[in-house]
Amino acid sequence: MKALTVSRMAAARLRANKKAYLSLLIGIFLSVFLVTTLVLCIQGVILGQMERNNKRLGYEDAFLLDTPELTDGDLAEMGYFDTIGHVYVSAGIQDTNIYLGWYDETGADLLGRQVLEGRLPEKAGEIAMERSAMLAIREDGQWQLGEEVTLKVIPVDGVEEERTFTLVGYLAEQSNALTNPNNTYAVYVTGFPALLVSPSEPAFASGRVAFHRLMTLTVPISEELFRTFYNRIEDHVLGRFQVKTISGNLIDSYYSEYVFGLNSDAFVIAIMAGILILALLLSCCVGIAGSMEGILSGRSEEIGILRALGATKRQIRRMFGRESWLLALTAAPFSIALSCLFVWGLALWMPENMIFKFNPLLVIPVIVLSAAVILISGSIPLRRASRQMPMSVIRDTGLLRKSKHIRSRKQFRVPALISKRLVRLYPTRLLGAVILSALMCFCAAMLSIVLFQGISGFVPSQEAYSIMMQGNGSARGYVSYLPGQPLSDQSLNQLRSLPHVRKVNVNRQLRVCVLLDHKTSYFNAGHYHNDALMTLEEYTEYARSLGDTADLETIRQRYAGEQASYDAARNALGISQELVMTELQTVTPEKLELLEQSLGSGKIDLDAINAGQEVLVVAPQIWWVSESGTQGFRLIDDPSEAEREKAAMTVVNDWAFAGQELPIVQLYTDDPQAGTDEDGKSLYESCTRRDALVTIGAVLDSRPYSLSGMWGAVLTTEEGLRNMGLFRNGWDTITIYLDGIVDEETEKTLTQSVTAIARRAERFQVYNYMESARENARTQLQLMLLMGAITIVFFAVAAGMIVSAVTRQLQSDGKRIGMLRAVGAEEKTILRCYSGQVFICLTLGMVLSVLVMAALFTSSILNVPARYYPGGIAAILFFTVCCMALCAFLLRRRVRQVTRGSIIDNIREL
Amino acid sequence: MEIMHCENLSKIYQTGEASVFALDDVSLSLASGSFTAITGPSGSGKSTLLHLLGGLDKPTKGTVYYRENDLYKYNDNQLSVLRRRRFGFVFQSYNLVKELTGYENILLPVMLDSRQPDEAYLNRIIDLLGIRDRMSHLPSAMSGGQQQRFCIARALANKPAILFADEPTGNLDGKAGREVLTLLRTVSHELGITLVLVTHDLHVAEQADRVIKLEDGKIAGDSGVTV
Repeated sequence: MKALTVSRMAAARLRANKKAYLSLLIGIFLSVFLVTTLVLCIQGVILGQMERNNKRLGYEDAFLLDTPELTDGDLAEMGYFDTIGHVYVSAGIQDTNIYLGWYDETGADLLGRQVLEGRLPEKAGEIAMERSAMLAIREDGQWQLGEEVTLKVIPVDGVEEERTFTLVGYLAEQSNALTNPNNTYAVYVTGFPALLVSPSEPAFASGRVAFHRLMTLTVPISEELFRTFYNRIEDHVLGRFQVKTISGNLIDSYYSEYVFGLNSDAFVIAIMAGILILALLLSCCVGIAGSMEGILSGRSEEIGILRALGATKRQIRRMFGRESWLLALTAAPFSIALSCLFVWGLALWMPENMIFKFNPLLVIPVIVLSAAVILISGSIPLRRASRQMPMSVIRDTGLLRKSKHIRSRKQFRVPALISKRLVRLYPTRLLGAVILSALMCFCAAMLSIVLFQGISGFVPSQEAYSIMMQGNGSARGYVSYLPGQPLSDQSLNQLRSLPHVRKVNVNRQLRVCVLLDHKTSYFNAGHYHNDALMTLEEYTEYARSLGDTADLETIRQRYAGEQASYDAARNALGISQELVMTELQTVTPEKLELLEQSLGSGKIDLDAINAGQEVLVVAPQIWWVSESGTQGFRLIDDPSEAEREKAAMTVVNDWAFAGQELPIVQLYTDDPQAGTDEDGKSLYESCTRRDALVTIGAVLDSRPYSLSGMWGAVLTTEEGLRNMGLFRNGWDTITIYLDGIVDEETEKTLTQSVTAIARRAERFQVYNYMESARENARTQLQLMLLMGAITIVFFAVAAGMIVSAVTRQLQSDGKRIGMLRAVGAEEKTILRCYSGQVFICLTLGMVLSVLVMAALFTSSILNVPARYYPGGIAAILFFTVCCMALCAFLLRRRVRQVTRGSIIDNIREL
Repeated sequence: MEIMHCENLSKIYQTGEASVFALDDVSLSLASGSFTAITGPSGSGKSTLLHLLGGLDKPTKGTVYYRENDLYKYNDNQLSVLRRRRFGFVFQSYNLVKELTGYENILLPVMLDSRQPDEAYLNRIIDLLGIRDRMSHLPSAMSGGQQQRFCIARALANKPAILFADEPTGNLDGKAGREVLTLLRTVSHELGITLVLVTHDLHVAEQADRVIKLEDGKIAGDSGVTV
């Protein structure tokens, strides 16, 4: 005869009570499945998006646009980069932003150029091209592979010539994605080639070969690393150094704070994903503990008898604990395997957006955590059950202690009284359901944020075209170049009326000067750095912070030179005040209202702004520059922070105050060659000058991300600009969004129309992002479907757990139901007794989750942006309502199951 | 006058492949206002017969008529209404709802029927049963005898036509058992209620107007038809 071990007893009990243990088994199975699936899905989507971004932008971490003054050795010496590849650009196509070039081996590996049809060029005379480039070059149809293609090209810094190639392949779109539309400087240099030729292609008769460098970083990018190395490189190559972020955005110096904004969003999402997983684990804990409690409460007499027979607490815990372990050992491997299979299937279905990777480092913690969850959650009710005295379990004397709080009713509605009494007398029994409901509501809110916001963060709404001026504002000194033929309002209206165009965004930025009574270095961290506005001490300190080791006399001479040229400009313009360059931006009245949240002092008076009497100025009160001398200024709320952060330089707003008068000077020319071959004086005399005197209505203390202006920028409306009397020269950038994804034929027609309108203006180029938009739409659809699948799995598991938590009483309440039926209670009355409890549990859970969410979101650790709140609350409400409906449905079924048997069966169940 | 009768009542329990006849082709009738005791050894089918007469269980075969209406043609809701308005039940193990106080348990059938309680009537029962001082206590704070009194009070709360008692003294000591039995007799007599009582105690059975003896699911003896 086999020895009677605890495991054998547990296995025998499991066999004998299959039905009772089924909910616990399902709970363990679903818990492990849900957590594993979620972890694998999040990992898969992140890996998928990184891979997608890599395919779109290449595997490099950063690149440096045409900078011959720096050698590869200089870059390697910095110690930040371990691989450097090259992209060579030999020519461009006239009146387009399309370039011709080739890669070296490392460059080709990093960019990973994909061929859609045909092959890459292998010998001289062969060419492969992006389809959007072909559409832009040839308006009357598509070239076939193998066809001779004759192109009129302009070599870089050279003279136009014609060359014939054989078309051997069509390439996946990449060159436009590598052009950072936010980087105004990038338009000065050549872009990335959309037309690819062989490295053995003979040189053109004139011009030079420009080259861009692609680099991989030795360590992952961090804010500190970015600030450190960026400043060292950027000092030499302003605007030409680009860094690729995890979300696939390109960043440059001017928008460096933007990427940290993005990163902080990603940080919030990562934290929330972590909290979600922890909350799910906790929910699983509560779910399993609840199932265990249900089983134990149904077997409390058995425990009492075992205790009466002399079983120790430890023995009781071992006997019942072994049961849950056996269940876990049965369920966990299957659920992990099923979860891997599920995510693997998802990854097969959407290979572009999700990568399945069985990462033991990720799965082992899930197994350990699941084991811990089962151990902890099973042990809590076991400890409680085994602690009770034998007769108190048998006689249920626990109720006696609570009975003093009970007030006997003289009249009552039976379902309401029984619901309330059960909640009152068995708070712990329902506490599990309340906590579970709160956790699940909270998880629903987190999931909505992580998935919806995460997806929108990963896949931004992609414009179809953008029209930008080449060399915007490229005049010398304080004078801007404004083309004679700008993009007019009429052109804008025509663009808006094109078929499929949903939205056309416009941007107007003017370079202007403000006249101040004193010098200020406030602007020097911004776009328009001007050393002449510093004192000699500040100039020297700044030079030292950049690692300049020149002696003091040399620095003094350099400073004097800066001052002399600055004074010459002022004299030529007849200006006695300090001349500070900044930019003037127009915003819509709607956007102006949104700026209220950034208000530092004064007030936003739309009428005064529209009348051209007042402007807004973006001028936070205190900024500091880090010790490393980076130009990434940061607002500090607490002045002592500057000391803590070891700020090398603190900049205080000493020039813009609400109510102060602000003279504005606009200097411009429509001659692109002005100032290039003559001295500054004649340029200042020949340019057009317009003056405006306005009052600063309000000073903004921060710059919302929706606004691309710099600190020191002056803001007004279109109407205000007109009334100020400054020159409005068309639009600088136009971004076109379509109402959906169009087919290739429609794209061709649209591209032709957009190009024709853009060519009416001088020096404007069209950037075609249609392929990216198409890809983004596909991605968004797939991710939405994935999100739907995850949400359904989550909802099914969560609702199942809650329903099980609130309905498991029914299993052990057969006797009570029998009693009620015996005295004449109908099925609907019994149903109401339980649905009342469900309502109480879910409502309490919902309120609790909203409170937790509010506390967590507003905490200083997370500080979740307010735009996430409505989605979270909507998710909680939706989840609760769905749960209530599902619970009502399932309760009715379960009550019917119980009442289907005879009353005597119910009463005798125990 | 007959208040209830049953014809060819059988109840068979399936245990695996074997069939157990708990009740085998039993027919009888009950007179209004009578006190009938059903006796017999354990497993003879006494409780089964009581449950089938009270509409708490369904027979495998046969019918039960209450005032000429077939109980088992009623749907579940109609049967529930009948139970709370016309029948009262007293169980051996009391079966009070342990989360409700004594008084709330008494009121249960009245409240389920959404009616105003007849306080004078309830007070009379409460005084008759001597349970006034335990009204606001939960059942777990009462002795077995007290719980049984509350169970009787609950069964009488709706002025039932028939009171079914399943070994009401089984869990009580001799003195308490005698008291409960006396109370049942007195109350049912005073209120004109038909009392059907299951017992295996012959001393209890002796006090009934009529004694039906069951053996192996069949009527083995009947002291007299009182219709």
